[in-house]
Amino acid sequence: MPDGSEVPDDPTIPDDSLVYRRITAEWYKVDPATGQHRLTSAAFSDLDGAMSITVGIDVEAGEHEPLDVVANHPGYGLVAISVGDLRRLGLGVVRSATDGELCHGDVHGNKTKGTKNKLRALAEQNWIRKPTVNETSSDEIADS
Amino acid sequence: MTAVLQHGQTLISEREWVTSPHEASAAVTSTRGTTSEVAEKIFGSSFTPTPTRSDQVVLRVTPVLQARLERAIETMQRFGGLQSDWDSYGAGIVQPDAVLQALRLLAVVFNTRKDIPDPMIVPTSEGGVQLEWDRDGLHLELEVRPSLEVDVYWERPDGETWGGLLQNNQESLLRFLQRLD
Repeated sequence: MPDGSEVPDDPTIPDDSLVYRRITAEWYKVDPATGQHRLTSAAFSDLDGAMSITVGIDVEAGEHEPLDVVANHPGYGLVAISVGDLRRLGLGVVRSATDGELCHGDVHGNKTKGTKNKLRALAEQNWIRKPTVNETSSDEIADS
Repeated sequence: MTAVLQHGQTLISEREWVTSPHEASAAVTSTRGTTSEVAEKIFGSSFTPTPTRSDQVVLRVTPVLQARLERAIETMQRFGGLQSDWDSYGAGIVQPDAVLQALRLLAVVFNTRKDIPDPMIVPTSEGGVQLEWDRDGLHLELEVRPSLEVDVYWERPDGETWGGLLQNNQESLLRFLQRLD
């Protein structure tokens, strides 16, 4: 794992497990050049130094389903990325449970534009559910 | 400068196009916000969309490109309806200054490369605006940060990539757009 020694990472989260990230319809929009929906790299940005995700093995341990991650977020999509793929990009995964999300975690490490685009490509291959365009999405204009 | 928008406000409060056979010009005004000194220096050129008020930018394109820029304005105007936490992960509201800056940038892009397709336009968690082009294995991004700095990133089909800040002149933008060829 490149530069992994300096990136916070929880070794009890195995490489072959998944993390989930919610995708708002704002990040899955029609590309005017092709007329096809496409995921943006902007969906994989840090806030406060890390990118929020849901730790898949903890979802399973709690006997929940992946779609429970978006149960309270109507219209949101959900993508999965393997922890091994994240580590190969020099990123690390740690648990950071919150009151609202017991399986919450953070992906640490430097997310350059290139890294975010690699995350986008990985996520495009593993949709759990795609977002639905609703009245709050600015995508309506592009779709019309 | 910090601008605060309430839910439901539009980011762009008014605009009026004036057209002539050779030019379409619109004064675009944001609901709130100011255009910083940094913004006024960016993309100095014959196309320069000079701010005429602190919260206004003048966009000049050819009449043919007017409809394309109008579509972009409509898309970005809708970002004003996004409340804080619109991504469910704590995203900030989209900043009016970033929207105006993205429009200025896009007007220059359209004037510089008239064959460039319309971009996909998305808000960023930090409150900025990202323009993306993706065709034939070529991927290009221009991200306008809330600070009004512009990040450039491109990937070519052969795997070559480049990322960095867009410098404060049109020549650097031209070099970037030439990557489309």
